[in-house]
This record gives sequence, structure tokens and C-alpha cells, in this order.
Amino acid sequence: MSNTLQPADWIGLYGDYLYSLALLKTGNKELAEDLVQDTFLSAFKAREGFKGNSSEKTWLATILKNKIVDHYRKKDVLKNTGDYLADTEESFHTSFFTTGDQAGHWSPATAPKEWDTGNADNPVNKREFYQILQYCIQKMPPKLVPVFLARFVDQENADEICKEFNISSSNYWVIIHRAKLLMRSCLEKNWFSA
Amino acid sequence: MAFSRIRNSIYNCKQATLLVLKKKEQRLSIAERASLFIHLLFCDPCKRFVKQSDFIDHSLHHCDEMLHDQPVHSLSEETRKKIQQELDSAN
Repeated sequence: MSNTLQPADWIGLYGDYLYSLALLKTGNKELAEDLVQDTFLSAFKAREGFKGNSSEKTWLATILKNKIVDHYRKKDVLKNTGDYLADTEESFHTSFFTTGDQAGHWSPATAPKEWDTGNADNPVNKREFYQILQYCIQKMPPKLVPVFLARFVDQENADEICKEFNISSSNYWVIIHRAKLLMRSCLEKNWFSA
Repeated sequence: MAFSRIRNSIYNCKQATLLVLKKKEQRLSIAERASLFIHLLFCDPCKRFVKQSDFIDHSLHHCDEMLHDQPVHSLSEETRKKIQQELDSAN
């Protein structure tokens, strides 16, 4: 792997990759195009600072990732998250779990069903599967999305994420829990039983 | 008190699924580990949740690689040209 930059080849080599990543994370074409353009321009201006510690691809993806985090922070998506989570707790609970004496069991309609993830037909290798993933991210309440992406796509840890978005650890766990349950049921509905 | 708390979490799928996710990132207490272990012995939907949650982690972990090898979307010719012009003028 050569660790020097080749800006002349960037759009050809990484344009569609960064655009697909940006669309997965934002679900918005114009925004994703702007983010990719910003990423290439920032990278070009910062090219002297590239130390070659990572590949060109990883370096560009990190710049894009930071642009997306900045975008969510600028929009203040996680403002009043605590209130939002408290206000929506009941409707969240009843859409997945039973209430009353035996509270907290899966509701019959939302209990996980068997998935066929057999090797021959492994969805992880299918483009269509990523379109469904993108759809399910878009369907998530916007306040859950930045944390979900930071944790599961960018592989950041809880401390980093709480600092990045200025949320408490207990809100972090509520968000991770809800987002995972929503993603699971969205995939079940739109991929595994489609 | 302690017993009813443990019993509540043993029979509670909401709590169990949260513990499944926490276990990926931090060390659970002995009581939490015990209640999760017992819950999963008896709860088939939660057993499936564990597997499916791992599957989701795996596919999202690999989406960077996947989108590099087979991008799901393509920039339009027009956008490519526009970005190239921006890059050229920054040069």
C-alpha cells in the first residue's frame, strides 16, 4: 500500500465510496454530495499534514466522518435529549413490550423471529441489504441516529460518544437500546420476511 | 427486595436485551450476569435477539469495506465534474 496522496485520482477511486457512506449516514442526496465535496476540498487543503500513518482511503473516510459529526452537532440534533427520551419512553415501551402485571415481555407482534442468515445467501455481501440498512437508519427517530452511527458504524466507545454529543451515560444506554431494537425489527420486516 | 429485583430482571425481556447490549461494552455485575444467564436459558426470543444483534453489529462493522468494494450509490457525472472543478480551482 502506498501511503502518499494522489488527489488527481480521488474522485475516481473514492467518490462513490464516500458518497455511499455519506448517504448511509444521512439519507439525504444533496447533503451527501455536499459532504463529499467538502471532504475532498478539506483533504486537499490539508494534504501537507498527511503523515502516511493510515491509508489514503482511511484518511479521507475519517475526514468525512468528522464532517458528519459536525453536521449533527451544528444542527443540535441531540438538544434536550433527556426530555425527549422521557417523553417517548411510554410509547417506546408499548411498541415493543407488554405492560401491566407481567410488564417487560416481548409483545407477540414484536418478539424476534428466526432469521435465515445462511452462508450461501449471506446478506452481508449484498448491495440490496445495505440499501435496506440505509432505509432503516432513515426511519429511526433523528435523535437516535448520530449515537447509533458513532457506536456501530464508526466503532467509537461510550465515553467518546458521550463527550462528542454531550449526553449522559444513562441516556447513551437508552439510545443504544432503542436504536438496536428498532433496527432489528426494521430488518426483520423489510429484509428477513420480505 | 434483592430477590424481587433479581426475579424482575430474570423475567423481563426489556431488561435482558439491555444487558445483552451492555455486556458488549462493559463488565456486568454478578447479579446482572446471573439474571441474564438464567433469562437466556428460558427465553427463545431473547436468544434470537442475541444472535441477531451480533449479526447487525457484524454487518455495520463491515459496511465500510463493503461500500468501498461495491458502492451502493454513484455520484452523478454532473456532481463529479463540479467537485473536480472545485478541486482544480483550489490547486
